[in-house]
Amino acid sequence: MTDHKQQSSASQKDNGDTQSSGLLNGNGVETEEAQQAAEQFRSIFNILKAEIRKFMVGQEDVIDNVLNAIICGGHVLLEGVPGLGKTALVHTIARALHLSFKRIQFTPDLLPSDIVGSNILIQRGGQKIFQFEPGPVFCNILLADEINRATPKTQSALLETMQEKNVTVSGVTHPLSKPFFVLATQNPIEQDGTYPLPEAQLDRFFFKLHVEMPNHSEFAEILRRTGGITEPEIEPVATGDEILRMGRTVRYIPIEEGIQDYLIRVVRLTHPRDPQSPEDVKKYVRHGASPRAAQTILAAARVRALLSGRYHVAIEDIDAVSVPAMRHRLILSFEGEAEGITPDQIIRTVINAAAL
Amino acid sequence: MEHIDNFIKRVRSRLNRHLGLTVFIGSLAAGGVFTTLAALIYIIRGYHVPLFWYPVVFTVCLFAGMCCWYFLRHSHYQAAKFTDDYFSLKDGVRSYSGFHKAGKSSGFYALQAQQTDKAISAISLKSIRYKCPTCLVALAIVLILASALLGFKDDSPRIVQKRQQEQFVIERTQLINEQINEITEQIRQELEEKKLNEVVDINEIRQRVNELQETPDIKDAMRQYAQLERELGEVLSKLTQRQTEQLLERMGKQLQKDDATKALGNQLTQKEYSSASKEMQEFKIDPQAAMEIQKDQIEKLKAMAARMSEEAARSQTGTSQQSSDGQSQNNQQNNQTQKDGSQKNQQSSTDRLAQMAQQLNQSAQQMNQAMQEAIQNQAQNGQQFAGQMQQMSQNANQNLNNLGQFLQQMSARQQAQSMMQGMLGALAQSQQGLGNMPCPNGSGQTPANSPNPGGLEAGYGTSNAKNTEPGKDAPNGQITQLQGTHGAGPSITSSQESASGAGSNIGTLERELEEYMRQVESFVRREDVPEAVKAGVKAYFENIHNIDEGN
Repeated sequence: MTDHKQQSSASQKDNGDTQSSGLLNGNGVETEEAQQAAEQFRSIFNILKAEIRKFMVGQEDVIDNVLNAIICGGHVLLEGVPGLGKTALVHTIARALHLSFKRIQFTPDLLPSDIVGSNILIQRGGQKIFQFEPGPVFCNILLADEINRATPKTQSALLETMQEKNVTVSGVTHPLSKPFFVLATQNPIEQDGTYPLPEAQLDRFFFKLHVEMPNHSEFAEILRRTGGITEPEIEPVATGDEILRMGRTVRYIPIEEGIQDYLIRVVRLTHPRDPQSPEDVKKYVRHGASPRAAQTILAAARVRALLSGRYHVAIEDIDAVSVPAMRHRLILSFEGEAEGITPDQIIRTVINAAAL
Repeated sequence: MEHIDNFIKRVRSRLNRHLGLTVFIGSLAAGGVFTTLAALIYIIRGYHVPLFWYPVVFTVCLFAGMCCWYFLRHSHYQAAKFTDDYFSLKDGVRSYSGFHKAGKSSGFYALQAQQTDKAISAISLKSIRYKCPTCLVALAIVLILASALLGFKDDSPRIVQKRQQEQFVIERTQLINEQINEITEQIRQELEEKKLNEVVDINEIRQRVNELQETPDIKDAMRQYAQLERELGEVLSKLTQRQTEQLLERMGKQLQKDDATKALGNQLTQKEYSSASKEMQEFKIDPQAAMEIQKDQIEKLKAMAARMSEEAARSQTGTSQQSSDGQSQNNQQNNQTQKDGSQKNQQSSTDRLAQMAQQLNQSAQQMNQAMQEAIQNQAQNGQQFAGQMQQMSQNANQNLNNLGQFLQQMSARQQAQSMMQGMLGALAQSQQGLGNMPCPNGSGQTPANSPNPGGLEAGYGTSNAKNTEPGKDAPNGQITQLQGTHGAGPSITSSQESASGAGSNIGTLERELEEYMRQVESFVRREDVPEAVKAGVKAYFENIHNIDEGN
């Protein structure tokens, strides 16, 4: 409880400090200020990535995209077979960020109160009173391991925390500390005793990332790093304040109107009812991506542009982030499922159609 | 960041130049396509390609190309986008252009502009090379060459002949129109001189003649001449007085039997009505003359009047019989029921003549009777006789005057009829020239031994001979024409054959057929020809045509 309050106050103090700078006051930035913020952004990102790579081998895109989502304040759903380092990645990031980290192993018997906390009866000064005992969500980085093993009721307990970043118990709302990220994992193969995440909750994830099998050299490097007596020591290199500041910085990255139209076109074309959508979309997609997907793509594209050394969003940024941002937001039709069509294929088709 | 803007402007200018060049080549190719198509259409139809097509088509295509270029040319934004794509600038120039247009230039926008400026400083505009559309160029060259080569092809022999024929028809119609105008003018002058304006409305004919047009189409030409011929025929039919002439001729023959009236009879027989009118004045009774002289004059008048009256009565009897026969015939044949206006006129004229002859005869008989009585009572009623005879002689003289005036009118109508016939003949003669169409390669239709040899040049069987004597048919072979009502007969149409001459039939089968067609056309258009007769003539010529085709 004490830690939680300290983190909240520290977070609020950080916010006040950053708001005093010209970069974040909303009145535009000077060129030098922007230059400084951009360089700082890249610097922190590169330091953070380098620290993570001390432990993690390969998975370049996954690391970049997880950091991208964290900078944008989004949650990530990591999907991959067991043993690929999903949990290790989240652990490493949490350690490198110098933020509080909690892990919840989702099981079918997990209850919502096990996640968000509950009121417990305690005796204080001779009186018995109810006191709120925070759950594991009261942290900065929450690892929801094997999230699809919990019941939908328990899964939905995360809805409010992910979107509102608040917890309401017995009519009392408890704000979570900032920043707050949920990094969830799920196993795509083992389907027995699992509960697929509802669309509403899937839509709240910023990215859905596929963790792929490392190649031979990466395998060898993993064995070298983890098979010895000592493991790499991960030092915290970035604070939550810096992450928040990075998130605000990217919001200043401009996007040209025509490129923004392209982004909108990409999202709209995922809808089968759009007259210009490709035939594959009309045939295999039941529901397209939501406007939240467009927000996600824009934010992620800005981060990618800035990391690429540019000060504007390019079409290639949008193309690059569209797949992880929309693959969990497309709901395939029965025909699509039956023919083994993946959302990634649909999204690439849409991107090609939008480019014409 | 004017450097970026200037760079985009130069890219735009370069792109638009490239586009203009492509559109120009495309326009030439399009022009080649259209001119080749037009040339092919002309050549397939046998014509030489008019050279004006080439500049017109290419000008239109180039203008259309300019319009296309104007609407397709690159905008500033498109040039920026092209620059990004061409130099892989990752939408830097495009973004700068959009931001600059929106007036955003501080903070990250300034950084973006600096970055873009740095990027384009490293690239050269010359690397944007024109991609020549080789296929289009080849297509344009091939099509232009093809259309140019096709343009050298001349008219086919068929078209050459057709053009010559059209030119010939124009010249011929021009000549015919001039001739008809001259003839009409001559007739008008003659009518004025002879004071026959009331007999024929020459102004109406002149108006119709002035409406004649020069045309390259022989059918049109023949049609208008046939129309004029038909109208002249109608005028002529109104002037026709054949029944009256026949009656006068029969009267003349009767008068030839007597020495006293032989001179008058000869003149009537020879249809010299003007002289006959004057001769008739010789039969007047002089009331101041002596009784013996008056007696001789009355005897002479009586003889003349009796013969004329007798013939008139005989004629009226015959006419009434003929009329009743014709009536029954008309009942049998529906087409005969339509009475011609000219026939009625002739009948009334004949009746009038007969009536005048009978009145004269009555006057003569009364005078003769009075003279007989006067001779018997000469001594007793001399003064009374003189008064009575004077009145009778005035009546007889009056009847003679009427008869004389009638003969004068006959003479005038005869002269007008002669003029109209002359005009018709001249019209027919002029149209003969239309049948002498030019033939290719010296196979002239007018042989050297024909009455009208020669021509404009080799292969042109034409004759520019002008008919200076209207009313006289040129001895040009068997020119058979359907002239309409020239005389009396069971049919109102008679086939008049021109005087046979020394010439041979110079027309080829085709020319003859055209001539017959013209005549048939003229004939079947006539309103005064019964439908049965028209149908018969049509059937006859259709049969001839079918036989020719069968052969």
